[in-house]
Amino acid sequence: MGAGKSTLLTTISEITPVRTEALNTQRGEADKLTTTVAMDYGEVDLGNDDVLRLYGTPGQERFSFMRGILAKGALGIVLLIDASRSDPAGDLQSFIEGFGLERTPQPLVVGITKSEIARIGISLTLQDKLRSMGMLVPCFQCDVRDRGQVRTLLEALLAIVEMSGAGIEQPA
Amino acid sequence: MTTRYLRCEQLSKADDMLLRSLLLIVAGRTIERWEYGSIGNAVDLLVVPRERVDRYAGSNQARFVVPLSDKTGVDAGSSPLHLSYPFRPQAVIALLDGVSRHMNAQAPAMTLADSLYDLIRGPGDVCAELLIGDRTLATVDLDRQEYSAGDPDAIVRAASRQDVHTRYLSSQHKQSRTGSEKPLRPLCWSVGLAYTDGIVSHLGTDCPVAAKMWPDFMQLPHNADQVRMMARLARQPCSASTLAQETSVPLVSAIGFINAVLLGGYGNPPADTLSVNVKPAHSVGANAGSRTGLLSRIRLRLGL
Repeated sequence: MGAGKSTLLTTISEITPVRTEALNTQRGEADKLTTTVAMDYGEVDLGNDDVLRLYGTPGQERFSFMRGILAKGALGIVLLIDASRSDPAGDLQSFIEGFGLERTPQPLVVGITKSEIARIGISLTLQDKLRSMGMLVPCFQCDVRDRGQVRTLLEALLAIVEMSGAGIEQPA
Repeated sequence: MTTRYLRCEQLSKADDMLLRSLLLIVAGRTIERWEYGSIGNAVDLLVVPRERVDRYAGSNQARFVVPLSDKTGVDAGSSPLHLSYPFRPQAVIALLDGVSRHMNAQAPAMTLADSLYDLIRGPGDVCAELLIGDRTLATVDLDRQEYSAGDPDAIVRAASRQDVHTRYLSSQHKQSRTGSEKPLRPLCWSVGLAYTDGIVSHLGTDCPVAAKMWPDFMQLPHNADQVRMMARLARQPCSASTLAQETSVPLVSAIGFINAVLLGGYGNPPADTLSVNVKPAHSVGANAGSRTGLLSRIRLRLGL
């Protein structure tokens, strides 16, 4: 919670995102007034009646069941990790396992937010965690309010999709 | 890092044992690694009694023959090389470093990219200078993963120069910092991209390289083709030739990219390649042709 998912979606979406916000009753976990309780929704018009649909999942653990539902059939996943939390590597592992990505790979990029207040080398730490899970995934430090940085995240995700987005098993 | 070999001949057993012990004691404190050489093999440095030096003149057993003496010894260039009684660790260090400096000055020049690659593949705790003639292009500290240079852009411009020498520095140098040090990895990445004459270490454009991890493209100069090449390389090991073919980029761009991956530590050549199994791609149902069209439209719309 509080990693920047709703903000990222707002940065990309061509429509005003549909948001399902409610009062945040867990202010200890993230210092924000409201939090997503179902999903955020945004769109990018591709023309020819085609639409790129963007879904933002809730961050609170009690809504984690939504993640698998929203990820099913997705072209790819952008996973945002809040580097200011006490155990970003643990959070990453938890989300990867929650999505079942170590068993059934999907195109995935990891955006590391709030890294300016995190320890140095956070990107390498998270990549090491992913490698220990047999995964080779881009981990970029980013500010999701910056459209240019969000574009770089998406550039990597689309490149992975283009190159088939195959997962890598545990090295022999 | 090069390993040099030292041996003693015709010395007393006690002196021989003492020098072997000192070699172990000074390990890590000399600018190059030194080991005791086996009998019968040629070595870099041979220590013999003073009265036996002439017997080794012109010998191919060693590049340097140094007498054990209590006076001055062999004069090599500007610095005399000698070893005197009683043996002291500092004297052994001075002798070994003197030989190393003399040998490095005679070492064949390499391209800047190859020199950097050689450095980063060696022990992770060395400090070295990259030189063109007498001019220091950069000082590299592998332990701290930093470098310092008067003109960082000049280093990238010199990526293809073939007259670069590496001079290893002593451990004392590692403790002195100027405050102008910069992270090493982005420099290695940029030098790699700029070096397009061939793959470093003469690996060849058909030699497969395996990705170790993704570069953080937020921190590095990059373009869309390099992101696509990285996505391809992350999927399965491949060579520069294959990369160019499968991502439709010019071979020269793929060569620079592979060099950047190797120099930046994001990939390994075949000898270091782990065996990995690649799971089949998770398909969302679209065939390759329609997916390519869809991705192009997404890229266009998002301004990528």
